[in-house]
Amino acid sequence: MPHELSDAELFQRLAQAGESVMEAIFHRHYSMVCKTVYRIVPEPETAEDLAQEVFLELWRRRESLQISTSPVAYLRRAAVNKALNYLRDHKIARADDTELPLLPDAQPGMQSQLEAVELQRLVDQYIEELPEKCRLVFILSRFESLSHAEIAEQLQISVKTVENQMTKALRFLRQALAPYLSALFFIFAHL
Amino acid sequence: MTIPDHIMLALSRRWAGETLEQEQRQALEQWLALPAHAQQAQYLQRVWDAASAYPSHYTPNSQAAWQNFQFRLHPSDTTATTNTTSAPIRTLPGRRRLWWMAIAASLMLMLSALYYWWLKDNEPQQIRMVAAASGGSLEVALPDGSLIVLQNGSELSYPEPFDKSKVRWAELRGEAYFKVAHHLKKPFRVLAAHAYIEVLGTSFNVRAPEAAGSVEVTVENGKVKLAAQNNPHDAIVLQPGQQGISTAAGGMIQANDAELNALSWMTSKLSFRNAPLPQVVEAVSRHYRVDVSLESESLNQCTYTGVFQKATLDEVLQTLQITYGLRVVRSDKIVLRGGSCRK
Repeated sequence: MPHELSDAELFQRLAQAGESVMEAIFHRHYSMVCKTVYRIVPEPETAEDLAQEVFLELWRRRESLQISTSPVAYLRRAAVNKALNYLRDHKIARADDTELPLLPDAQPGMQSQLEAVELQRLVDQYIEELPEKCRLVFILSRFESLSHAEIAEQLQISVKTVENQMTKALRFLRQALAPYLSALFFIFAHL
Repeated sequence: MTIPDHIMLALSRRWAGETLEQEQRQALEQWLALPAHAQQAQYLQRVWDAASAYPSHYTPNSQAAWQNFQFRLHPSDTTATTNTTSAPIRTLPGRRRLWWMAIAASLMLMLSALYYWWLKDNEPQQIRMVAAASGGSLEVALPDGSLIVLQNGSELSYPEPFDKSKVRWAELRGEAYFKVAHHLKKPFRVLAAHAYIEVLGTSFNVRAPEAAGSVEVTVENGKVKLAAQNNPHDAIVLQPGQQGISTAAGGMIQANDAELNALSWMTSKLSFRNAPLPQVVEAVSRHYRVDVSLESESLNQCTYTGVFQKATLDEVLQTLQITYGLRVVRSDKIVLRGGSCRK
């Protein structure tokens, strides 16, 4: 029954109805929350731990919850904040790499020989190979639609740096995926 | 060729749905006006679009996570459940793990079967590209019997071998007329800019200028499905004589009647039936590649009916001059001055 309710209805009932409603919300949005966190902290176990905390906080606050946007937007924002806070707290442990990785030489005839799964894996891999700051700027702009000013504030860097990192990321991905441009088009046009 | 930083930023902002500052927007539009630049932007957009599935290799399991979550909701409750009604009965960890391993194993089996099936139908293909150099159109005869007439300056890419896979497809940059051979079991797909066009066997025209952002499809025979590439299931079906426009902005698609003048570059024929004069002027501008405009707003209400078959621009202008009593003023562009709707 709870699965047929809209997100807004589920969230409204959360305070009174309790765990069964929570379970419906959990199953419906767990994957989105995990993936949102993962894009910022690309470690599966960490992403899942942080996702648990996002839902746990939702549960604890269920009686006083005031959602001004949509429930999905609320959860997504909570996931982004959780992930960014995690990064802030663990800054020392992370390598401060700023160099772009070297790309393998493109082989002629390589394009469109790749399977869709393989190509998607390659896209994932190149995104994860970006230096951290560069990757974060790209992710926050590409997936979270944050403005350059908002990204600058979140990462505590200047707007100028955000812009530099953004173009750096785009240039790298464009160059890395250049041999597969026509295959990219064909495959992703049909997803 | 590389894209300058400020253009890259403007493009990424636009794709991310941010509003551009006036100055930024102007710089971007100016830069995009050059076809070679527009193509660079299109390549970059493919990369941007391809990232949309990230992270595709990561598939969190909400069932297992929910179990975990319940433990966190009731930290003291480590044995079997006592009072909650909605919580499922917890089994011992060892058995639960076995259960998940079984699920994972069967999932793996299903996935590899799927992958095998997918491979079977996706032999490696080469992509062949043909281009109609400026100065003339180019006829491309495909192995399946389809004929494509490329407008000058346009490019067509298609897989080789062409009819090995389940669908026939070609990617178009620019404008082309398609006469697709009928194959009941093999639809023919045309990818043009952001638009997705699918047919079984029919003839139609696709106009996808890189700068304009919208793709026009005009149907001569048969039925044509038109959709946005990111949402191919939400398609409109165009009938003969109809035109569909797929705009880049929201991927919005609308169908309206057309005079088939979109085909004029090939047929040298412009025909109008009670067509509003501004529409006539636009078709004439496009066909003769000149800039013609109406000066007097009162002419916007006039309609025109008639056919120009292999007419010269002068003949067309003269006809309009006589019909509406207007004056043709030529400078770097052509302005139609004065006149009224009387006939």
